[in-house]
Amino acid sequence: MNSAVKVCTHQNAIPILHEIKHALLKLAENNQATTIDLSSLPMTSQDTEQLLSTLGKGEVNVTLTSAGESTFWETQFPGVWVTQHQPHFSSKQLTYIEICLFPSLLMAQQADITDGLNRLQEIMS
Amino acid sequence: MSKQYTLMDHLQGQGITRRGFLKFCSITATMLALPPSLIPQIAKALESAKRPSVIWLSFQECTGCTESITRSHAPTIESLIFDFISLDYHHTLQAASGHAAEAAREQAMKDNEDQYILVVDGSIPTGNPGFSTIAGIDNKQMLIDTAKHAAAIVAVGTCATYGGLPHADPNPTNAVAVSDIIKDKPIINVPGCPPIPIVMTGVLAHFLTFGTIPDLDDLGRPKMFYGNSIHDRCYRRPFYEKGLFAETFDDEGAKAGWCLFKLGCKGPTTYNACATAKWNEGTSFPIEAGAPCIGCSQPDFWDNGGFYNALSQPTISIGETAAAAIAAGAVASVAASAIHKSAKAKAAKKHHTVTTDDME
Repeated sequence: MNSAVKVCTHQNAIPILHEIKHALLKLAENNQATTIDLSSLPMTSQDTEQLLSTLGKGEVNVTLTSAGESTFWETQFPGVWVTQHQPHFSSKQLTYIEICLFPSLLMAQQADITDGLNRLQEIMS
Repeated sequence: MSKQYTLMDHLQGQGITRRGFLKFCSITATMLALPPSLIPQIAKALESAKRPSVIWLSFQECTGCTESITRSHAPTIESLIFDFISLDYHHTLQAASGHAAEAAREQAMKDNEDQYILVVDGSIPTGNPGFSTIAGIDNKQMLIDTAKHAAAIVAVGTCATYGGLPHADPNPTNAVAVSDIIKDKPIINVPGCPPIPIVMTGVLAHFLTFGTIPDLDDLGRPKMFYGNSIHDRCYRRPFYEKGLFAETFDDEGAKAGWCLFKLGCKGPTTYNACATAKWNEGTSFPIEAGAPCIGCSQPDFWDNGGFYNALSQPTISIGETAAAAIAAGAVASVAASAIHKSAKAKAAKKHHTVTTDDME
C-alpha cells in the first residue's frame, strides 16, 4: 500500500473527499454503508482521475463478469472501495465510490446459490 | 411483442444471474438519476416490468432529436429497442415504409390500446393542415388519433415541448407544442435542442421500471433530469463565486477555464442535466468545451435575445444611448435602466439576430 497520500488539488474532487471522510466515519462508528455515484456529480474527467489517484489502490482487486465486466478495488483507505461497471448495454463506464465493509454486489445471491446447487446435484447424479 | 414477457425473463434468457440482475439495477438507478439507496425498489419493480410498445411520431422537426437518441450510450439504441422497449413505429428507424409503415402504427395502437407510449418530436403546424403531412394525414390529426389510446406521451425536443424553432418569431406555420393540443393525457416534456440522449432513454426506462410518469416540474419536465440549473451543477461555478470571468473567447480567463457568464452563458436560468449527464458518451458538454450555454431546454430560447449577450446585460448598446441621454440632460442610470427593460421586452417579442461581431 502506498503510505504517501498525494494531495488532490483539483477543486471539484475536494468536496467528494470530504463526503468520503464523513461516510467513512459513519462506517467506523455505526457500520453504516454509503454509495456515491460519480456520474451524478459535476466532475470533469480530470476531477475523476485526480480523485481516484488520491484514493489509490489497496490490497483487494476483484473482477466480476456478469452483464458486462465490472472491477472492484479497495483503495488505500480500508473500507473505501471503487466500483467500475462496463454494462453490456452501454458503451460508457460507470464509476461509484462505495464506503462499506465489502461491496454487496460481490456476495453470492440466494437465487444463484439455489441454481448452482441444482446444477451440482445434476452433475453428481 | 409478447405482453407477458418481462425484462427479467429477457435478461435470464441471456444467461444473466441474479447478481448480474442486481448490477443491472444499480446501473439503471444511475440512468434514472436516482440515488443508489433506491436500488432495492428498482430491483423489485424490474422483476415484473414488461417492455412497453412505443410509437414515435415526427412532425415539424429537423431529426436532430432522433440523431441524438441514436447516440445514447446507456442504454445503447440497440439495447433500448431490443431490451427495454418495443419500438413499433418510427419514420427514420423502421424498415417498413408507405402503407406498411402506417399499418404497423395502426396494429401497435390496436394491440396495445391504452398501454403504449407515444413519443413526439417536432412542433405541430395549425395554420394550414397542408404545411406538414404524413401519409396524407396532417400532423394535428395524426397526433389526436394516436394520442387517443396512449398511456402517456413523451414530447421530446424543444419543438414538441414548447414549439421550438418553428414557433420562433414570426412563426409562419402557427406552430404549437403537443401540450397545446392534447389536454387529457399525461405529457412528459423532455426539452432540449436536441435533448440529451440518456435523458430521453432514461425517461423511457423510468416508465418501463415503475409504470408511471416521473415527478414533473412546472414546465412538465422530469425533475430527476431537470431539477437543477446548469449553473448549479456547473464545474465552473466556483469561478463565478470568486468573480473570475472570461471576457472574450480567447483571453487568459477563457484559457484558464473561468466562468462564461459574461459571454452569454444562460446556465443560471436553464434547467437541464448537461453538466452531469454530459454528451458524446459522457465526454463533455458545451461549457466544458468553452461555449456558453444557450438555454435550449427553456421555452422560447430562440427569441430571448442574443446567445452571446450576458443575462445581466441589455440587448442594445447602453454606452451609446446612455451617452446620448446625458447629452440630453437625463440621468444616465435611469435611462439605462429603462432601456434595459424595454430592450428585454422587445427582444422577447422580436427575434434577435446574432452576427459574428457578437462573438468578438
